[in-house]
Amino acid sequence: MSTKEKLYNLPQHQSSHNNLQLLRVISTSNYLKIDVGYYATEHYIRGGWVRMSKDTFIKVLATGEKKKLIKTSNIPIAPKQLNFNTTHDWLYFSLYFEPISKQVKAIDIIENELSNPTDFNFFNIQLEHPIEIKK
Amino acid sequence: MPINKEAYLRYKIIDACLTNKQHKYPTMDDLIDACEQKLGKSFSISTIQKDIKTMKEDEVLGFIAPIKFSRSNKGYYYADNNYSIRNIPLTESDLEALLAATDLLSTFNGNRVSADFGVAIDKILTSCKEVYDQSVDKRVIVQTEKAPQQRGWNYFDFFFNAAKQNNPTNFIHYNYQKRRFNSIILHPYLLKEFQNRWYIIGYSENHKEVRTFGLDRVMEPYLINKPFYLAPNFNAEKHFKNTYGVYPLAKKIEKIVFDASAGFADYLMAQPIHESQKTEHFYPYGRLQLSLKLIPSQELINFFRMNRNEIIVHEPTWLKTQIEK
Repeated sequence: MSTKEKLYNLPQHQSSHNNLQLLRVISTSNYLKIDVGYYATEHYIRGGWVRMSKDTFIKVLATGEKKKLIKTSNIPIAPKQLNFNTTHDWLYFSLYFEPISKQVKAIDIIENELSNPTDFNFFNIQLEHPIEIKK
Repeated sequence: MPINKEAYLRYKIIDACLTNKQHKYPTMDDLIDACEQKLGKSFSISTIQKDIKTMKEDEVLGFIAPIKFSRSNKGYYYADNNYSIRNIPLTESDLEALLAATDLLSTFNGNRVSADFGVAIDKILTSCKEVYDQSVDKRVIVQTEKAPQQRGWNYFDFFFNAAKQNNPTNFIHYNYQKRRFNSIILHPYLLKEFQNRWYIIGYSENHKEVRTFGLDRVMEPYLINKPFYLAPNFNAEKHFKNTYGVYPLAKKIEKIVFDASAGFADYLMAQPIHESQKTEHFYPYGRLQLSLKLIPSQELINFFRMNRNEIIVHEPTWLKTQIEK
């Protein structure tokens, strides 16, 4: 089967975080890339800060298999953090995980299994209707 | 006078016929057939005869092609076997014109566009002339306004090529007003500049209609493998013909009537807001009442708000209310 890169646009999922938007999932033979949007709120003075836990992982729902976080783009990994300047700030960032098999149809992204409202958790992400990315 | 583009194409076709070693001495009918096949329309004998005369004699065109007619072979040929219009060197004035055009292009927002153009020009110039004048201390003669470090400008080439190749795209978009992200699947048609900002226009699968997206709000675009969709009624020239800006608020053209102060009226008369601008009434002491027939847009509202000390909008009422907010 081909090693083409696949894009899942605005996949259906559940999340309890109000300021976080799961935008795209891109699956390649080298990694699984998750593209996310975040916008600061008035809840925190000057919009607060963001960071990712290095223990963030993906769980393949069908098998329970876990995939580790390899790197991030545009968001620091704890203990570093990105401080916003205003409550109007926004951030587009990406998380790169170990690759998944092309048969995988649903995953969770778990930053913290205890799942506080501020954790970046997404559940039951449906990997349907893939679109091939052109090189 | 500039060369007629279609005539130039015929010259090239005639040249190809005359240099075709497999079919020497093409007849007039051969030349006509070749032109008709390549260009998809009919040509008369007199047209091709005029073309040959122009190629032979026109000094401005500069070919001075040695075209002759062979009675024994009943066809045309070049008296010089090595001749072809493809080998014509550029004259001094051609070179100067090319250099001037490169300078002019590089002053516009198309620094990126002119970079590729500049490389192509350099190749032509160096192949035509061993040394040509590239004065290091050239005086800037034309200067246009350039927005510094415009975000998204680095995607210009991407969308240009995607639109040219009819390739659908996917990108992340952030809406400043709604403070929301989206991941858009766009079939790109047109790159448009307005007030120093660039926009990509195309059919959005997310919205199921033609939409406009500012390049400054676009992130990480990809080319995707999907059939390209061209909206049946989309016409790049007509799409914005009745709009000031790129974000129309409606689909219907409305008559907008407003008064301009005496000082501001001078500017608007010198540079109308839109081609539909008309003077409705001359007040004493220089004030004017003007009208526009436009689809109202956010940019128009912003324009009126910015100049509210100089402009009073009378119609339509909803627009008057918007501006006063």
